[in-house]
Amino acid sequence: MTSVADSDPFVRNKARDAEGLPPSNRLSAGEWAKKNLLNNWYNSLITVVVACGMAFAVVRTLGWLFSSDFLIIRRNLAVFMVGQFPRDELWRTWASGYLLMGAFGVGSGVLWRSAQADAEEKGLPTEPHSWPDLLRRFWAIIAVLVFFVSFARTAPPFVGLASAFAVFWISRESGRRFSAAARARGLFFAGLLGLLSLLVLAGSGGLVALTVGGLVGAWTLSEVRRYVDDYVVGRGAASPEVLGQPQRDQRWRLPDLFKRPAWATWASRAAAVVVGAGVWFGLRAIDWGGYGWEDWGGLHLTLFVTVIGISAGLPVGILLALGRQSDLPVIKGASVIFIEFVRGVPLISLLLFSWFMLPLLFPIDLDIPGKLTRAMIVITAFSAAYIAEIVRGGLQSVPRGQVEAAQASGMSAGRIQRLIVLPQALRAVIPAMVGQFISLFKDTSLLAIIGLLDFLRASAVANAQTEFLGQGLVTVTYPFVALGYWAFAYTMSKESRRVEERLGVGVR
Amino acid sequence: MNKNSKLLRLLAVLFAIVLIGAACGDDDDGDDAEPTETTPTETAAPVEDDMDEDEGGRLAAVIERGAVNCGVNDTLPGFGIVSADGANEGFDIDFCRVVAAAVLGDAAAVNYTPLDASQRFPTLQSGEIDLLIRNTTWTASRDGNEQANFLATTFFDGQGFMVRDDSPIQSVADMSNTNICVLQGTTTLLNLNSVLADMGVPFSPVEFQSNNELQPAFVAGQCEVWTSDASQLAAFSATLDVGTRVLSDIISKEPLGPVVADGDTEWAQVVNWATMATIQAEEFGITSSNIDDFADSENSNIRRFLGLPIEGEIAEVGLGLPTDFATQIVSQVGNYGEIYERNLGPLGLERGVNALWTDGGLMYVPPFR
Amino acid sequence: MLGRLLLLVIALVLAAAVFLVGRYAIDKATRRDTSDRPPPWRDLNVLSLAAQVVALGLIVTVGAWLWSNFRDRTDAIGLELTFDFLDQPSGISIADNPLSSDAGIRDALQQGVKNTFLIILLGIPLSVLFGTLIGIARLSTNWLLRKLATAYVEFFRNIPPLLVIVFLWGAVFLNFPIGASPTAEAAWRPLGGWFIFSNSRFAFPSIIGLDNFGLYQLLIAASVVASVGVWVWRTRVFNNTGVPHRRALWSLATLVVLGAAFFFALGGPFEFSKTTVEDRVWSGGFRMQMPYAAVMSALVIYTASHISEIVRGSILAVHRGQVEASHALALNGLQRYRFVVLPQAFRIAFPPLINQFLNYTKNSSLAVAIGFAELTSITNNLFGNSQPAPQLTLILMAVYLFFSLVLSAMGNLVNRRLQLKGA
Repeated sequence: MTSVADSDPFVRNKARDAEGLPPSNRLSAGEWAKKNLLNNWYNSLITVVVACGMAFAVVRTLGWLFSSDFLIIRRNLAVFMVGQFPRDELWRTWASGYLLMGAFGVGSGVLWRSAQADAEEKGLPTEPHSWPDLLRRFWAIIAVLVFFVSFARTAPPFVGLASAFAVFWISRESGRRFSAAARARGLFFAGLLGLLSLLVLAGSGGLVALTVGGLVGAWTLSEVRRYVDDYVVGRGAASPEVLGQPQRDQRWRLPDLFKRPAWATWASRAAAVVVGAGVWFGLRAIDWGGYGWEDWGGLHLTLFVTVIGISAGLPVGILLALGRQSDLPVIKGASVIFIEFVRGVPLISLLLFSWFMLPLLFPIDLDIPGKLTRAMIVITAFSAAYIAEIVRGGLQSVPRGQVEAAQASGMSAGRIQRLIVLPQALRAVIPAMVGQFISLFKDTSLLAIIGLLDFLRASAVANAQTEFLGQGLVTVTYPFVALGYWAFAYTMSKESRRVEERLGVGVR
Repeated sequence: MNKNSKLLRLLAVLFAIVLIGAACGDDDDGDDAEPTETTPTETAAPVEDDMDEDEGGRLAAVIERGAVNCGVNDTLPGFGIVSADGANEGFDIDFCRVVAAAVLGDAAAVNYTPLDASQRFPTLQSGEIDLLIRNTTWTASRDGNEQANFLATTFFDGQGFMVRDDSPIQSVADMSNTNICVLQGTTTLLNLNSVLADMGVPFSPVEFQSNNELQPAFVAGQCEVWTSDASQLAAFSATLDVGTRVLSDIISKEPLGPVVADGDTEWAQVVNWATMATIQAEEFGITSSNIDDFADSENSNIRRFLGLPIEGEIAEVGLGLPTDFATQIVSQVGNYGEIYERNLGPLGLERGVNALWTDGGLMYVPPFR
Repeated sequence: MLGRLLLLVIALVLAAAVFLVGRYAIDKATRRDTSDRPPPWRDLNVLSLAAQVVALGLIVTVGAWLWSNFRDRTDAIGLELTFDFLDQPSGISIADNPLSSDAGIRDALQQGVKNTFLIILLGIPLSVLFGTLIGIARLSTNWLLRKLATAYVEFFRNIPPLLVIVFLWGAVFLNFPIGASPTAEAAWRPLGGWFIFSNSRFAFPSIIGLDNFGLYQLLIAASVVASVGVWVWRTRVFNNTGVPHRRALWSLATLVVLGAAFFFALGGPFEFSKTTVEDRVWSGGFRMQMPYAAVMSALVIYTASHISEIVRGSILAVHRGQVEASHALALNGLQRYRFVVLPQAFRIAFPPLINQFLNYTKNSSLAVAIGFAELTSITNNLFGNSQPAPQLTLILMAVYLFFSLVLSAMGNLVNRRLQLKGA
């Protein structure tokens, strides 16, 4: 135990948090209790009071657990998980879940690999990578999901859950096989998997096919350029060794610092457009079936709204942040007004706006988009405004010298932002972004107030069924829902702290 | 310097010409545009225009879409709920299905939009839903101010009061200074305010957005009285785990039925006659299980109703509905009595005033011919 | 109108472009020295102006397009875009409020704003206090307390505030003894009935003025001035002589002595009022609706879990040497926190605290879930009673925006005072 405490940076931090107490496990139980619980009269008093309170709470919780009838949850498990998603198409949600797990797995594997390379470079302790380690990090979500599916009282959901974790593990392993240099390629692949999960679920309608096409196009662009740089321009000119950089920094190379023939640039762009558009039209040509998000519900809706809210809000937020930093009064003013307005009003008023005002803003000959689409519009605006402020913090943290150096080397303003400032700024704000993700995740519960069947409102819906009417079963359903929210938010906040500590270590 | 100033003068002239040209072009534009912009608003013509455009539009739009967009409740016991397998169910929901069966021949072709009490009229006005069937009370001001068109009543209700068994309260007159639980944004709240104010009974409202919170508040005793539609109270009274008593006072008439947006007579007629067909079917004794027996009925009224051919008569009644719409309704959804029993029977609600007129109730529909 | 404006703008832009390019071309043709003036398509001033004009044009066009859509739709459904409806009777009534349902919508909204303000007014100081205590508890040397505080933070920080409100209301506040009965006989009345806790209302003692109460208030104001004077005097004494100042004690004593003296001199200008329940009418004392207490407590509990993290971080950010120095000065735990750690920590914590205050303000709108008649709740109620949604939504947003802006302006002001000068 002692050796673990010494080698594990996290344990050491905890000890430091407690104002430099020595690791407690060196003491005998009695000594430990004396030192930590009864070291003076008021601490003893506090201990007694707190212990009594906790005992009371535990007794009440156990009483609730054993006296409650969980039939309402057992019957409505599907309502809590997927709302009104057609029951004979539930394979879509499972398949999409697997693909999403795959995306997370590949992504985390790739990031792990690159963090590993970083740590090795700097001679820092590397992050452990093992089953128990993952379990320790994700125990809350795993435990709560197992708890949830245990209500189904049949084997298939357990098998489904177990295979989802298996998919995660396998794809993480395969993600780790991407070399640090191929990080971008790995992340593209993860993104593609994530989009495929949307495709399976919702078909190719809306923006899904377009986004897949765009991603594949971007991928093509980078692959063609890589090929051109490596084989046409010539290894000597392209290879970073010439620039005096170690091999692993290939992923940071600045592609335009060396000569690439114009025809190659144009050829890569053309290839990207052709491939991207081809994928787009190809996907649209096939009938995928599927159900758009207006039919989603439950925990599934809650999670997807959060993910989509953040990923759609991110580009808008970055633009707003850059706009706010701009020297041009009009652009700066517009950004500031938008950001401050959205941040100054509660999300619920924005959602009411999406219900009552937004329909009136669409052209009269156009069908009004569905309620969730409208909600997503304001949620995207909402998260964009908050992300803009976070990114602004990141932009301000990039040393001025970086920009000046880039200007001195003759880079254009757009390129400076894209290649120098934003990568550093975004890296610095990852923890804050996770924080925003958590808070948006919690905020999506307001969808319940405007009547969308999300995870929270599933409780209201279940309690209105004739079978469960009037029995006051919110005492069962609300704790259940709270547990679901808690597990995800808690895990994410732990992860964000982990990332923060790692990044902090990297910076120092 | 000289040259420069000459140039500037030249440019200024050029600039002025461009400006004047632009402004003149605008004037032409404006002269043409302004009358068309302003005069119609004065005569309120655009609204008429829109109505003309809408005429026949809604029915066509529904048929083209292949589904009826129906605004419903999803947490109202008996009337509109979501079942454990994710399906919308209930008395009101069945009338959405009735309309879908009549118009499209498929009772399942409905898109449900769950709505809050406060959301229903703006959503109906914006055209997002074709049809609102969400325990909505027909009142003059709603008919007038909300651009809503109320159709045949499907359920006659009244606002009642419920107290706990041991409460000393016997009638509305005893409710002085009580806490009364009520839902926000409903006519229930408006009735409560006006009736109790007229009676000079002060009270303290405890308002909630949904029954999900209201019900525990009543059980815990935050409020002594719960006021709502009598049907709701009866349903809750039967299931609540505290003893309750529904008072005999009924302070309002609450006719509940389907609502469509103003200005589309054809669509309103379609919904109206589809709804009434269920009542007529019950009157004829036609149910979803015995409808096949009526295929060779001799009764010309029944034959006409079910869209069966009658010699020497044109079947088309000109409603824009298929001739066999009543057959579709009854075979796919059922008659009024079946719908009632299926959804409100389990809650223990008696037919009462909602019985057929032949049984002394209010359910009376015009003849189908 | 719009088309004309747009054409005018385009014409202006074109003219400007022609002017700039023309001038450059002529300069070039006449071989004037153009080295101090780059061509317009490379001139930063010109480019930035052009970018702004384009941006402005884009914003105006999109705005005008939305506005025309809005007008089309509102015309089609016959929605009036005036604020006349504010004078119509609201048709709603508000608990424990004399406002009748015949009163105008304006009055109902004002009452809503007032109630929102009440949630903020009492809640923010409470959440700072509570959050600070939890933050300190997380750093306690008592293992059990530390773990409990951590569990508290990790739990409440990670569930939605809406759920906290509904949960706390349903699990705790509804379970208070029943207060909705003729004499609220079941209610919990600690301290001889001066306090009443029930699941419909809470009651606390209050002061009601008798004869001379106005004069007494003036005198109390004077006493406050006097006690501030004493504070200043003691501070000066301490600075000059080093005698322990005990200024808090001194000024408090001044206030109490003067207050008591005036009280007796004026023959008892006020008395404490106790709430009584007679025939379901609650009178006297300071009463609050249970939903108010529930919403406020829930928001305090939720916000405190965030504030405690800020406080903890700030305490940890206070330089260790400061703590060690206070140990060396033999300050005890309380003194260390009171005089050394907290003042410095508070300075660090204040900017993020402002953010939490804003979040608190915005979260107060969630009271709609349990029906406390604050602004959002009243607005939502009005939506359902045929009142025009666009105008009400705008009013709702404007009020919250106003609250947020005022709060953040105040916060920034305080923050500027708080930060070390020249640091």
